[in-house]
Amino acid sequence: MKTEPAITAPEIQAPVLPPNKLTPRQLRWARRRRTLGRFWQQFRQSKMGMIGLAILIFYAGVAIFSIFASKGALDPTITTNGPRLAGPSLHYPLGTQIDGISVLSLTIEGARISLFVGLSAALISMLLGTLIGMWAGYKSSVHDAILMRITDVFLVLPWLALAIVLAAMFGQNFWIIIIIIGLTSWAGTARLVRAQVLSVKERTYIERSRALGASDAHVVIKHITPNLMPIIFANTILTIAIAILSESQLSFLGLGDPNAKSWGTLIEEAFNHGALTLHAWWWLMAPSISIVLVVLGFTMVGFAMDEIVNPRIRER
Amino acid sequence: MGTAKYLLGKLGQLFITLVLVLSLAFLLFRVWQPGDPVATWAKASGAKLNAEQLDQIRHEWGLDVPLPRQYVSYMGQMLTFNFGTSTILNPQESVSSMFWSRMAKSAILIVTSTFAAIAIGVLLGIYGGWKRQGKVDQASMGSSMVLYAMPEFVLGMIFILIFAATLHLFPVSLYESPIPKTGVAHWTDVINHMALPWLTLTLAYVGEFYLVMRSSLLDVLGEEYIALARAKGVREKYVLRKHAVPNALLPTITLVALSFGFILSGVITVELVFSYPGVGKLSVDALRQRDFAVLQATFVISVIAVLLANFIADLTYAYLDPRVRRA
Amino acid sequence: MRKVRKGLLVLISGVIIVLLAAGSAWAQSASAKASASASASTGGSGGTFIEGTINNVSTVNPWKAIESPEYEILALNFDLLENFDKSTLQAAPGVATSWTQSPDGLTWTFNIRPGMTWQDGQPFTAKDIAWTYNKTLDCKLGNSLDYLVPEFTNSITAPSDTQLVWSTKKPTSAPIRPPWVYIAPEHIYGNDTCDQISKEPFFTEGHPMVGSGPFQLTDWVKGQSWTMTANPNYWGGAPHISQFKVVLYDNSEAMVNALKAGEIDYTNLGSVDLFNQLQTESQSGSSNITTHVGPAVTFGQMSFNMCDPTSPTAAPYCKNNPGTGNPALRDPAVRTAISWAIDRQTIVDKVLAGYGEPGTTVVPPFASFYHYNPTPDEMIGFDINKAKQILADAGYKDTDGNGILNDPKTGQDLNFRFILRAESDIGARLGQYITGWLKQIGIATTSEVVSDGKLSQAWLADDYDMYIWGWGPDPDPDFILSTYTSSQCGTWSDTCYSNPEYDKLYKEQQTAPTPQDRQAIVFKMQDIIYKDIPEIVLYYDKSLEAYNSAKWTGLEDNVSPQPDGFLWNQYTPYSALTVQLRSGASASSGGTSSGLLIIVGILGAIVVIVGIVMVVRRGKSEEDLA
Repeated sequence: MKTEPAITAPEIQAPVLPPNKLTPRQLRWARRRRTLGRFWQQFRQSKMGMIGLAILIFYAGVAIFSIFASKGALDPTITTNGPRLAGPSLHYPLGTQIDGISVLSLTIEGARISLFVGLSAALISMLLGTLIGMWAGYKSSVHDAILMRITDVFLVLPWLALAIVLAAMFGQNFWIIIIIIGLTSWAGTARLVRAQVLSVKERTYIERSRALGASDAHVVIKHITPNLMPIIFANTILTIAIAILSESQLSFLGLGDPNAKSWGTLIEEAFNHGALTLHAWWWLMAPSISIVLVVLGFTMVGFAMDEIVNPRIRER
Repeated sequence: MGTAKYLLGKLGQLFITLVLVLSLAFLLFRVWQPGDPVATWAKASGAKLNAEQLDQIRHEWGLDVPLPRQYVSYMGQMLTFNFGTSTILNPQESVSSMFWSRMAKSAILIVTSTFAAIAIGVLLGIYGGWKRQGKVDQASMGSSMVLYAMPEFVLGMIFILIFAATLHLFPVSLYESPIPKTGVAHWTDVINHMALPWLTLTLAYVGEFYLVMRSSLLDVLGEEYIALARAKGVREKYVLRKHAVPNALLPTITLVALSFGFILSGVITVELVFSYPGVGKLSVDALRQRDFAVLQATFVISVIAVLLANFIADLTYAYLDPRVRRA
Repeated sequence: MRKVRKGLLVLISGVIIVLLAAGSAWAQSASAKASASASASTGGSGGTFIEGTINNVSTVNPWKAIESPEYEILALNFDLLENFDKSTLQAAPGVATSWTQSPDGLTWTFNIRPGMTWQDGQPFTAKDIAWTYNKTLDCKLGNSLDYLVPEFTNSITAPSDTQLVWSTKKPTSAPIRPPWVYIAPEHIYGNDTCDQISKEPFFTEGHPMVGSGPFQLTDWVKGQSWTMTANPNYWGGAPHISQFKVVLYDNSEAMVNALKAGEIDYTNLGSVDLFNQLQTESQSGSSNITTHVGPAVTFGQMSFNMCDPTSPTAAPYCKNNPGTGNPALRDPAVRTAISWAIDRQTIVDKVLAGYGEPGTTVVPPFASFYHYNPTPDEMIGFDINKAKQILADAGYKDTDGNGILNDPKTGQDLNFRFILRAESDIGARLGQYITGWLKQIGIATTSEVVSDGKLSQAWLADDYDMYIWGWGPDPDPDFILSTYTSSQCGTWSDTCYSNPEYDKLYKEQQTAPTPQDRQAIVFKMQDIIYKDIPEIVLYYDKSLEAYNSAKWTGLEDNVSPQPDGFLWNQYTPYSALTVQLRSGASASSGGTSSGLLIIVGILGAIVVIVGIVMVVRRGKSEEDLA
């Protein structure tokens, strides 16, 4: 909080041209590959990160599987012989819900929706946050002051109260939910990016580049952005976790899209049909555990990456 | 002198933020709201009115004047907590009167559970950070991550399933029994109803505060002056109590204040799970019935509550941080 | 030394907590005893009968009421001209003790019960009735107007305090249906203008609602609960209970748990699965709850947007609010195909868990005299192939090969907007089933789950294609039949259906000389709706009730209408008069606080242990030092 994490800048020590005469472009790619390789080496050391990654790979597999899975299993007019509210059995490993549909099938389908909403919302949040953060950090103090006040507003807003208002006005559907979550979660990223830009832009090589007549766009795209990428990436991973949690909260309030049932919507349905009182715990269990695991997965990976890209933490 | 300047600056920021948020509310409720609010209300409430009567209501609501003038009167109304009357939930009833009794019920829940979560989280965080990778730290770290990843309503439902639906130790919902009791019995009744929502909220945020306090203490423990103090042979506990903890508390306070908005969001779903008649429940009801007058009030007041919480955090910060005090 | 004291301090505070817990437990049991003995002193009667509901009350103005709990309050607080007979729900003596129709059929004369008083002590006379009815007619007040057949009524007067005369232009049975207009006190509202009366709150804090019924609304915590206090001077005899209270819940689940915990005494459940569970527990003898499956009074319907502004017979409201309905739905073939594609039996079995009957016509079977059963030839069943054939014969083909049929006139996909209710426990699920079947016949849907407010908005603006809602009709078919007339477009009409022949029949049944004549017309009208399909009656759902039978008695023998009626009929006061505490049952409501005591106990124990540990450890380390 007090000091911004310093980012080492290997570019300064980069040799002018390697003897085997790579073009600058190839050179850049080679360097990136090296950086990625180094990153992976470090990431592999983190037990937490690897567990998180394993969870995520599992659920990514589930989500991809759901694209190809038959939708008939989810349609009560096609799957007509399922027992209503049956507990887990060999035939229905996670039990059935009120229409006799397998909770397993619903959870698999929900994986795709929840992950898609989480990823898209985090993407919007990342783009907005990065743009605003860069603008504020790079531009003059007037822009900075105005943008940062707005960022502060969004940072402290009780986001669900705002989301409820937006959903009440603009209706409930899949895309609106994505936009609402994106619009209410970018402020943290913007602050982080701004702080990074402020520390990076005073570096000598940037001043040198500017002295050589580079345009603002050139400086931002070629010098500042690559420096920020690791931190933005780690931050986005954490944002996905929050976006998935947010989606589940919105869906639980009944704002989910009935045509694309996420895990949150499944829980809402179960809750509203009295699953707790009916002791139909299996109806709630799989979607709840899935939310917790996926959020946990993203958080673990995010923390692990943060430790790598944020050297201050690494020293501990 | 420096403190006064710092506080004035913070007060100014608070004011600007407030104006910005209220402007956002104005845009949302007066400008961007799709359709004509009066027609929407008339349809949703089932009131059958002719054009003249609709115009009359438009006039009563102050919608027939140009936007800039509406803006000024809107800001005046919001700052004096004048939210008009409920349109659909409890027609004709003043929104403020609907609000305050629920506000009190929510406030008890939020304040007590947040302070409990802070106390437990910070104490555990200090211990965990100090004895890093110890048994307590590892256990707390694991459970904190899980609690952080778990939506509040899932936690609430687990408690209902165990303590209410199976063990029948606590009532499932509401603030008190349908027939209110009196005297001591009233308060035991209320506490009994509040126990599960309170436990849910407390546990839901302990994890977050633990993680924040732990990492901020680790930050401080890495500082040079700590190493210096240790080198000088100052006893470890003394280092912790006099140097590390006070400094680590500062960023924690900021983050606690920042997360207040998230806590309010969590309260909404928890109140829904337990049918707890607070502001969160009210805003969900207003959402379901599209009672925009009530929705506007819940929005504006929760934002003001968050801003005030942040301001108080700034004051605490100023009090605790000698650099701010002296600067 | 200081540390030792700290440990002791913790120890002492632990002991105090434990003592406090014991104290509060004692105080609680003492107060429970006190309230039990208080109720015993009134001789076994009294007590508060508490109902749980999930429907909020937003107004108690008798002319403005819509929701069922609002009618429940009004039925207990006010009187109608006649009562509903307990077994048949036909008109029975009440405020009017007897009535006669003049030989020409144009004049009805009612003898009004003498000596009645309002709940504030003022005399209740025939003039109050005449005032109420005339106010309703003059001001065209809301939902009750049609019961007074404004087109046929000449005058309603009170020649004396005990006589009411109602004269009409044509012979009609409307006055003994009976008219569902609650009689309001003229001495309070007599000077109100039309605008004032429709805005009258009828209840404000500290000013109980004044009527003439067995109960009086005395407390209303908006959005939470409302309490009615017994009227000891009720003309039909004082109720046994001293208060009737209704508590609002968010969901059926919270309500069922409250019922099990003894916090509420009665509920009419919307959730079939929770009811199922209660019934199983009740039958196995493991609970205090008795369940009761009542009549199929209500029905669920799927409505089509029938507003066709280009039609010469379109209702004026539809012409002014043309809306956005899909023209394909105005083709009877499409509606008929949809009707054949819906498996009503599966809906009853799966969605209603068997607590219902497949739907046919718009007057539910519970109104047995007027309910029309389609003949086997007319009956529309479930047959996907037949539905497909009907569409194919009418020229609907999948011309663009995307699996969805195209409208031959416009070339557009048959894709209908389908609105479902968020407030209903089953709305979204019904939508899922119907969407599935329609998909099988090549019709796509875009479904949206919305609040009732939003649905009313879409409905009034004719801005939808299809939606699912429900009706709880009166025992008399007049009202439900009126909703399909073209003049109701924009007010009660579900669909803006407009059919001049139907409108004419509606007028005819109002003035049919005998019930048998009326029955024939009413059958014809139901047949028209069944074949024309402006909406599909999906199911008749049974009323599901449960109450705490360990504590209360007097409900079972009072079922109305008989034999398969309600325990607690929301539009008659009978059950509220006879329900009473079972002898030996305590008047205080349940709700244990064992959980709290356990928590306090555990807390206390922890503090004590920590205290002991601190004292002991401190002692040890001091020994070490020594």
